[in-house]
Amino acid sequence: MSKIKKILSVILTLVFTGLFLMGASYVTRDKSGDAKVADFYDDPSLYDVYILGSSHALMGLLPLEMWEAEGITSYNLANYGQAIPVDYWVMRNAVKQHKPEVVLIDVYTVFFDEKYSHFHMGYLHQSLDTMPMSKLKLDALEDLLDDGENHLEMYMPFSFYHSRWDSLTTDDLKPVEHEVQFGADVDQRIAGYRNGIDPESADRITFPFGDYDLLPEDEKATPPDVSTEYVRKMIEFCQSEEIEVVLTSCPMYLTEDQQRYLNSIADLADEYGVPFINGVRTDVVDYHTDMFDSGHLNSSGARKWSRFMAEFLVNEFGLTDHRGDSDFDIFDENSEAQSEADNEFLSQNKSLYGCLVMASDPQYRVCIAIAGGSSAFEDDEIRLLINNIDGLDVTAEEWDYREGLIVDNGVDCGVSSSDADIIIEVYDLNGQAVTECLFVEDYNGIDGFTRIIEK
Amino acid sequence: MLFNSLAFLVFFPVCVLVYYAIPKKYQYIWLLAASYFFYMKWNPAYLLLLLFSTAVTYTGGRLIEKAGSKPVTIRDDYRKMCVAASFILNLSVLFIFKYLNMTFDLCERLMSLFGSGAELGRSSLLLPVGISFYTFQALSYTMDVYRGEIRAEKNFLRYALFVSFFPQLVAGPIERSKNLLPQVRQEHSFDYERARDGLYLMLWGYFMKVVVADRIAIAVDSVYDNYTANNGIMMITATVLFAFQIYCDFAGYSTIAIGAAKILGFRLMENFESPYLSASSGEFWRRWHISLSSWFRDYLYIPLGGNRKGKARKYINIMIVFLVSGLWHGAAWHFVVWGGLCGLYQVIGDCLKGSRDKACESIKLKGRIRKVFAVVFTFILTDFAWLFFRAKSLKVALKMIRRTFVSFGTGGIRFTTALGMNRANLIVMAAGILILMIADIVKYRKKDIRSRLLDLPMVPRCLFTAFVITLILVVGIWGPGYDSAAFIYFQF
Repeated sequence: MSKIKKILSVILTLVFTGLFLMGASYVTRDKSGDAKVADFYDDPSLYDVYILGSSHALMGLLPLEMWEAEGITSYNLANYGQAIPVDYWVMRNAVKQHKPEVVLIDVYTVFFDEKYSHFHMGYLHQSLDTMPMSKLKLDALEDLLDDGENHLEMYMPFSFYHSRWDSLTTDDLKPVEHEVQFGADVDQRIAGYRNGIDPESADRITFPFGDYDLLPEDEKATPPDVSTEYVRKMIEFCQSEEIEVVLTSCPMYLTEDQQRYLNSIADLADEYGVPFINGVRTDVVDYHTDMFDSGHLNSSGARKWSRFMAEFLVNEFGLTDHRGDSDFDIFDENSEAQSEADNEFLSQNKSLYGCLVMASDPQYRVCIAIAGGSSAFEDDEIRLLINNIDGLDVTAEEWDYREGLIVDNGVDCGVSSSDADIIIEVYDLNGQAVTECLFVEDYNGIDGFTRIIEK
Repeated sequence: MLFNSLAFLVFFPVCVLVYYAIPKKYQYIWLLAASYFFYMKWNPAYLLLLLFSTAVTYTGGRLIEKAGSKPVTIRDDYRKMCVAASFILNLSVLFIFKYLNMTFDLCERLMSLFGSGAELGRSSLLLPVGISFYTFQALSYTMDVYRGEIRAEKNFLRYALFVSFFPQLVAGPIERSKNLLPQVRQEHSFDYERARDGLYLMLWGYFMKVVVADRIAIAVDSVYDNYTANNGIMMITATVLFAFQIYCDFAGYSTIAIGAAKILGFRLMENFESPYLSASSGEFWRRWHISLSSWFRDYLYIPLGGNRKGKARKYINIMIVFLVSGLWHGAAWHFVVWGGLCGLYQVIGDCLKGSRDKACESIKLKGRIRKVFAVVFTFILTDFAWLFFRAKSLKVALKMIRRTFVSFGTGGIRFTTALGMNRANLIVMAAGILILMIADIVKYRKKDIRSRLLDLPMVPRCLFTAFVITLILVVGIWGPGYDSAAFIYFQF
C-alpha cells in the first residue's frame, strides 16, 4: 500500500469514526438539560434576573409566576443537588452570555462540605454539559472536579450517556424541545406525591405537614468553608460586575443545624451589604397547604414564594415591568402553554389533595360541593386546602356542621345531581369549564377518596 | 489502570506517540516508565513488590551465570542455591500476600479438631494486582537462565521492562524470557500494517470484554448472588453464560494486551485457541490460558517427572499440577476443588480412552458426529467445573448443585428479571456470544478474518472499522455510569 493510501485510510477511518460518534453522542444524550436551558441560550438578553440554587429554588422560584405578578423576566438556573460552587460557575457562564440586573442565590445548600454532590452526577452533567466549551468551562471543570476519572467523564459526556442506548425512543432523534418554565421544574407540583400525575403509582410522602418551632435568630453556626468561600466569590464577582445580589432560602422544614447555618448567613450578607431573605422567617407560605414534601414547595407554595420574591425585587431594585413589550412575547406564549399543561394535569390528577392544591391557582375559579355526612368533614386538612383557594373561607364551625357544603369564588355552580361525595368544578377566568373533579369515598383510595374520571 | 477505562484511552495513544517519537535507544526506558506509571495508577506502594521481584530475579540470573567461573565441584550446588533463593523469596511474598489468611484458616480448623479454639487473626494486606502473573514470569526467567536456555540480562532497566511490560503486566499472557527479552533489546520502528493489525486485535478484545463479558457478568451475578431465589434452569443458564463470560473476559484482556504490544512492535504469545471447541479435557488445557498451562508444564509437570515415570506417577503429577493451578487462581477451597476436578477429568479421560474408543466404535459413533459429541461433552464437564470456580465458596457451590436438582423448574421466573437486564441487552448478549462462536469456528479452521477484512476496498474497510469502534463505545459496558467490572483475572 502506498504511503498516500495509508494516510488516506487513517484519515478516512478517523473522519468516519468522528461522524458516527457525533451522531451517537447526539442520539444517546439525555436532552432534558438542553431543554431546560434552550430558551436561555436562544436569547440571554431577555433576562433581568438569574436564579441559582438547588432543587428548593428549582421548584420554588417560578419565572412565569414572577412574570405574571410583576412583569419581571427571570431564568431559573438552579438544579437538583446543585452545590454553591457549581452555582458559582453556572452563574459565571450565564453572566458571560448576558449581564443581568440581579442574581438571586438560594443558599440552602450552604451546609454542603463538598464542591458538588456525588449523588447527583446526572444533574451535575445537566448543569455543566450544557455550558458551551470555552476557557471558562475548562476552568470550571478544573476547579470543581478533583478526581481524575470524573474529569474525563465531564470532558467526554458520551461516556456517561452512551448507556442510554437501550432505552432510546424516537424523541431522541428529534431536535431539543424547549421547556416553557424558563428553567424551573413544575413536575412535582401536587401535595405529597413524588413523580407527578398519578399518585397511585407514585411514592407517597408524609402529608399534610404543619407548623414548627424555629431556633432564635442569634443561634448560629459557621457553615463549611467550601460553601461560604463560594458564596463570597459569587457576591464579590457580582459586585465587581455591578450586578445586584440577593441571598435567599426557600421556606421549608430545616434541621436545627441548617437553621444555625442560615442564621449566620445573615451576618455574611450584612458584611457585603446585600439582602438576605430567609424563607423560614417569613409567613409567606402555609406549611399545611404549600409543601410538596418537608423540603420543597408544591405549586401553591411556589406560586406564593415566587410572587413574594418578585414583589421584593421590584421594590428593592426597581426592575422594569416588561409586560406588553413585544420583545418579551415569549413570556406570554410560555405562560399560555403552561396554562394548557396545568389544565391537562388537573383533569388527569387522581388525588383530592392534588386537585385542591392545583385549583388554588388564581387562573382558576372553582365551585366545591361536599355531600352531607361525608368523611371529608373528619379531615381538617381538606378545609385548610379549600381555604387556600382565594375567596373561599370555610370556618371550623361550618365544617363541623357536616350537613353538606357548597362554596365558590365567583362562578355559577353547575352542581346538580351526582353520586359523587365531593365535586370540584374548575373554570377559567372567562367562565369556561376546565374540568370537573368528582370523588367518591373509598377507604382504600388515595387520601380516602377515588376520583371518577369520565373518558 | 484498566484497559476499559477512559484513562487508558488517553494513556495508550500518548505512550505510543512518544515511543515512536523519541530516539530508539531510549524506547525501552520510556516503556519502563510508562509501565510503572500504569501499575502505580492502582496503588503506588505496590510498585515496591514489583521492584523486589525484579531485583531478586535479576540478581539471581546474574549470580547463576557467574557461577560458571566457580570450581566445577561447587558450581551446581551454587546455581541450585541461587534458583532456590529466587523461588523462595518470590513465592514467600506471594504466600504472604495471597495465601496467609487461607493458611491461618486451615490451621485453626486443624487445631479445632484437637479441641483448641485458638484464633490466629487475619492479615489485612491487600492482594497486589497481577502479583501471580509477574511472579511467574520472573521465576521462569530464573529457570531459563539456570537451564542455560538464555543468557542473563545485564541491563537492569531492560530486565525490569521484561518483568513489567504494561500490556501483559497484570493479567498475562505470562511471557517467556526467550520470547520477550530479545524483543526488549531490539529497537522498534513504526510499521503501518503491524499497527493496524494490532488495532484490529484490540478492537476484537474490547468487543469480547466490554460488549460480551461485562454484559454477561450482569446476568451471572444476578443469578449467583440470588441463587436461593432462582430455580435449576436459571442456575444452569447462568453457569453456561459464565463459561462465556470468563472466556470473553480473559481472552478479551489477552487480545487487547497482544494488540497493544503489537502496536508497540512486540509479539506476545497466543493465549487462547478456540478452547470451547476442544474434544477432550486435555485438548481444552492446550487451548485455554496457554501461557499458564505451558508454564506449569515446563516448570512443574516436567520437573516432577512428567509422564516419564509410569502411568501412576503421571496421574499424580497431573493432579498436583491442577491442584496448584487451582490455588494459583485463588486462595480458597472452591478454587482447589475446581483445579482438582479439571485434573480428574484428564486422569479419568486418559484411563477410559481405550474403552471409550471401543464403545464409540460399537455404536458406530465416528468422524464429525463423534467430534461434535466430544466437544459438547467436554464443554459440559468444563462448565460444571466453572460452577465451583464462580461460586462464592465451596459450601455455596454445593448448595447450588443441590438446588439445581431439587428446584429444577419451579416458580414462574422471568428471564429478564432473573438475569437482571432488559430485552435489548439480552439480544446484544446473545448476538455477542453468536459472533464469538462464529469467530472461534473460523479460527479453529485456521482461517483469518482480519486478512479478509483487509481485502476489502478502502472506503468500506474504513467505514466498517469506524462502525465497530462506535458500536463498542455505544453498547459496551464502560464509563462512569457503571461500576466498570474489574477484569476477573486481576485477582489472581
